[in-house]
Amino acid sequence: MSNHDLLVASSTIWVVVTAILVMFMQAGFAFLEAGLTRMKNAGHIAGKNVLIFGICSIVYYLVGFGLAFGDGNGLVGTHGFVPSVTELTAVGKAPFDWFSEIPGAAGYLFEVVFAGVSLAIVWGAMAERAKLWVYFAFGIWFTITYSIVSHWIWSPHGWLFKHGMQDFAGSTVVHYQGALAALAGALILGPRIGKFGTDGRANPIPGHNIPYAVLGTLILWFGWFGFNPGSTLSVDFGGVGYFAYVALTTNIAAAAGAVTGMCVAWVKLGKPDISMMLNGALGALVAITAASGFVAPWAAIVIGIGSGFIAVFGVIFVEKIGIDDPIGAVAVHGMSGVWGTLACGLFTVPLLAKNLATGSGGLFYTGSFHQLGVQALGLVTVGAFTFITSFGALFVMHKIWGIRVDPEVETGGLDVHEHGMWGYPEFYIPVPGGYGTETHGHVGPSHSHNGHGVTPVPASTPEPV
Amino acid sequence: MQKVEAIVIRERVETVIDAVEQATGHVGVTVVEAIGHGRERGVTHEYRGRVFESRFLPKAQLLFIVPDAIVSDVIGAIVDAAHSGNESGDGLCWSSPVENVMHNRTGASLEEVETRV
Repeated sequence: MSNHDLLVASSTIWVVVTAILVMFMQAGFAFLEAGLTRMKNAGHIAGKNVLIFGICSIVYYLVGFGLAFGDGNGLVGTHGFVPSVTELTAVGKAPFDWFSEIPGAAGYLFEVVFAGVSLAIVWGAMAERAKLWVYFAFGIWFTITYSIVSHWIWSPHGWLFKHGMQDFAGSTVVHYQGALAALAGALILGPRIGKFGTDGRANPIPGHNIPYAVLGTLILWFGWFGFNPGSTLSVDFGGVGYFAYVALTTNIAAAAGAVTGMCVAWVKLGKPDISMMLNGALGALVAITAASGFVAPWAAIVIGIGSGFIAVFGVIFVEKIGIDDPIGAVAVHGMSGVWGTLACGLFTVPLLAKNLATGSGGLFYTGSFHQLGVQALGLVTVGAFTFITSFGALFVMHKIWGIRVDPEVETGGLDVHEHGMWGYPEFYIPVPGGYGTETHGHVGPSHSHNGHGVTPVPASTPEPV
Repeated sequence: MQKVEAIVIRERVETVIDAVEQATGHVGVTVVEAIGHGRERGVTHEYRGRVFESRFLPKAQLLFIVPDAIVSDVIGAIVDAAHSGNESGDGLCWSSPVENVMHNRTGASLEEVETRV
């Protein structure tokens, strides 16, 4: 193999491995979201992560990847829809010539898991009250609008890319966008039953399993080592092995966010709230996502600390203005996404911007507001586009069909009403004798009416898998 | 004194307690998580397309100790608030006389304690 072949081989290994790490973040979202909501919805909320990743993967293959990274104009990719075997196996060839050191297939894998993460964020704020079909309809719609914005910022043809907008791994593209759609959804759905009292004061609706939320956060943190370092898309972007440095800034910011989140909650709320510590860590990971390749370690800590404050005050603020966001997606992914994107304009090291050939140094080093202005321009335009398209689509769906479940469905839980099953069956179907015992079940096939004449239930027979 | 007991579906527990307070001013209740069934003999569930039966359903048992004078109002409020509109499973409500109702903290009889307030 030539040196170039070795470069392609090692880059492909790196990108595919990180794509798999990012895919595993769906497990993190499943546990985080299920843990922070009520047990009557646990199966639904965990399960929807599989559903939306399925929808997203298909739509992204059909049109999303082409819209985002296919050759085209400044606004949208116009080539590479339903990519062929040749297009997916070629390295650095049109329409995916942007991926110069990996095959198109590796590019698809790495980018589709990002679309999946963005879509997973959307449902955090809409949890516990949206109808199941909305996941299908809005999942398709959002994957498409997401792809268009990622073309603006990440494709070399994109108009924001040409302005030199710095978004290393997607504080804006992935997290801010997901949070904008989440906000639109939460506004249209309205708060959960019982969230706000008649006097307008917010009632806490505690999550049902904090260890789940902790596990989810750790899985997300783990996955982020694919999210940010993998965004080098090769083993030598920014210098050979530069991705290791990106992993370091990612970790250090998350650490600062976790510690800050807990301390701020301790001071502000009087108790070191565990969920606020988790929000602090996640908010910091969201913020460092844009900046991870561009900033010095001290700035990563500053960014993490900022997110620790945003996580606590953001969640409280969102609740105060009457928005019910069960997971805290608007604060953690939206506000921290904005903070991370702007932080590039403040803290980007000029040398790193030059190495990555993206934008220029931040205000702190150069005294120039140029990069900060570019970052703000990106936030405003993406904010307007994504919020309007998401709000519009959800609003139309809500007016025509209604996207919120009926009150009795919400009260009884989405698990049983939408899926006919429970996350924790024994809690809802008490079985003192256990399943399949003589004392359980009463109207089986050989139903008898003589007192306790009961038959083993059909569910106890071996089931074909 | 009278003991009013009610078996209600769990979603209705707070509605029923609030209704009792609104109708009679009575405050104080014990809630026991219970399971059981009525003439419907439980419920049929489906899992992966297969039908299975559960004899017991989750319920709550509410227990109020109230003065004789308000018993019928308390029962009326419970029956009204426990009604869910479902075809079955709304439970029962009954009262029975109780004696020697003592207040643990003061050691006085509950009637005395309540008149003092």
